[in-house]
Amino acid sequence: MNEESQKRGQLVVLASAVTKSYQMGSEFITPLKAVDLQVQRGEFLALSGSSGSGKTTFLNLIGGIDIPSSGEIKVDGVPLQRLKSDQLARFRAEKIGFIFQTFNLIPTLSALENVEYPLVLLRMKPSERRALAMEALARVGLEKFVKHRPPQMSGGQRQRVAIARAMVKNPPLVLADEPTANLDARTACEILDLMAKLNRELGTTFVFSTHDARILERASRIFKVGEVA
Amino acid sequence: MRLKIAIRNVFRNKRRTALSIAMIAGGVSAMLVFNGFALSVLINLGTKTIQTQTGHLQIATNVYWDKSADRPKDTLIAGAKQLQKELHKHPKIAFASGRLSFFGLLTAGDRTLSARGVSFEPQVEGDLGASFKFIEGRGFTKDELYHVALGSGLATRLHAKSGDSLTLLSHTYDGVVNAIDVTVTGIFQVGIAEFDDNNFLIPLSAAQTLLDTDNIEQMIIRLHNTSDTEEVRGEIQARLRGGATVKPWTEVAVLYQQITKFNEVQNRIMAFIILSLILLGILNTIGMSVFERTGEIGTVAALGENSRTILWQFLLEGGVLGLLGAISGMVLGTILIVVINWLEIKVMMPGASTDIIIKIGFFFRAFLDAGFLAVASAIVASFIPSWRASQMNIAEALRRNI
Ligand SMILES: Nc1ncnc2c1ncn2[C@@H]1O[C@H](COP(=O)(O)OP(=O)(O)O)[C@@H](O)[C@H]1O
Ligand SMILES: [Mg+2]
Repeated sequence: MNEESQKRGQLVVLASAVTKSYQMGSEFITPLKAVDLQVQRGEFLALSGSSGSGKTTFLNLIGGIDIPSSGEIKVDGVPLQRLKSDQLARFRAEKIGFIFQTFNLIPTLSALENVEYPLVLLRMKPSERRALAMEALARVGLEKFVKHRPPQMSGGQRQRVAIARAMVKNPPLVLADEPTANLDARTACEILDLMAKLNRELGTTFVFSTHDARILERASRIFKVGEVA
Repeated sequence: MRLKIAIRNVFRNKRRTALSIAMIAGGVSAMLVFNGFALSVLINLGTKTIQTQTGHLQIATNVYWDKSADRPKDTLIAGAKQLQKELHKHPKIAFASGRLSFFGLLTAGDRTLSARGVSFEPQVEGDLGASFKFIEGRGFTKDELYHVALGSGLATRLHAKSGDSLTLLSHTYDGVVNAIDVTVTGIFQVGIAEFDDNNFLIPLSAAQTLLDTDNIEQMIIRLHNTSDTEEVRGEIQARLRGGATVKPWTEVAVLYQQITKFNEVQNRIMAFIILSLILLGILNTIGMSVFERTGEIGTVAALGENSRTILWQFLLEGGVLGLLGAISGMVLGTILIVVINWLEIKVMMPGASTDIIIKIGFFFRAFLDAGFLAVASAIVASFIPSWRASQMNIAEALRRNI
């Protein structure tokens, strides 16, 4: 481990007293109330909770997609509350890999182009990013599907492409919001195996949400969202 | 990559794209046909004006131009022959010809009409066949003196035909009434009703005899190329002694000026209507596209696109759409112009004395303008929906993925 990351410490996520509330007409919904969470580098952490408990909301806050109503979040040493929207975009581009329940691939782009996309945002040269994207696709076992477009692929394959897209820039943190909820049981298992393998082999920190008990078993630690303290 | 994404997105919804491309293409081609027609008419009118009335350049005394002379004879240019000789040495000048114009009474049998006589010099201009269209008879030969050629409207009203003998009555610059007998050599038709109804042509020396002068009112200069007008004007003006000014035809031709102005206004209105159509079409297309792709916008924002690059991406799509529309419009416009020219449609233009066959020209400038307008308005129209896309709440946009 290099000096820089040692300075930042072993904490990838440090969330303290994070609260998020939404106004619905005259009423307030507060899915997250003063939540504290610390994630160590290399963890394979599951956020559990029933539907509507605030898992997506929490992941959005950690990933710099949304801002908390109060509280502080530091990711890889970066205090998110100090960033403006452009800086948040840059933070996401550099530090976060996202995996979604609905895969969210760009339908007009091929598998390879989808994986290249995050590298375009990092202004990488075409030849370099192509090589990295090929490598990432190979790591998820899709080297034969380079030219396929998302509509021509199965759910499991699409989620593999999405995992390659999240991993291609080798981010310190990958956030996965119910990555297996739209997949059948067997494929869900395979996807989780793949994520666990990447976590083990590359040391990438994963935080994923799920409400599936079988998936929870695989986590190195479980954090319950929406539990009354 | 961004351009690739833009192009693929444009072709994502084929029907909608086809519709908006058709809309832009329709606008662009309409503009090309319309402008091509208007410009052709204008160039045609300009050529006719130069050939039959103004030449490219006109030299006259300042008192003639500003109409400040006490006596008509003070407006005349003396020493015209010497001036003409000098002008003929210039390589870009086709010829210089003296003009006198005057009002006179033409009598044919028991009919008498007032008409405007314009002098020509068959010695330098030839028989006028190159400039005037004769529907009967011909212009003048070099040594015909007491002859006239009548405008078609004037000839009709006089019941005169070529070979007829007329009496031409006017008064000299000293105010003495004078008359000569003239023979009609032919009947011409310029195509401008006002001109054909009121004018007759007469050799300069006959006019000078009638008006009792050796001088001329204007020196008309014809160039080999219209595009040399400004350059030659400058050279001549520099050599003219004070008291005389040379003016380009565009300054003198009133009808041409009026029609040019009218065309400009008309073009602007036309462009405005077409632009509005393009604006609405693109606004709708890109607006729908942004709406449908809300989830996708959320995704790319999550991946790290900032609002500026999202804005650019959608503007680029609008631009691609505009460009495709512009290109299709140019192709369509070209086809339309070729077909319309081939059909040889006849129309009566305002102020014309005969039908003309519609002839639409291709003008590089018109293509450039129409293309630029289409692309620019497409981008402008994309701005509103693109802005909306760039300002979306990412978390909410992401929830739209299903
Ligand atoms: N933009 C929003 N406006 C209002 N309420 C919201 C918004 N987003 C989420 N919520 C509410 O916050 C709660 C948590 O939602 P979410 O984080 O999506 O839960 P989960 O992902 O665990 O299913 C829900 O009650 C949901 O209705
Ligand atoms: Mg959720």
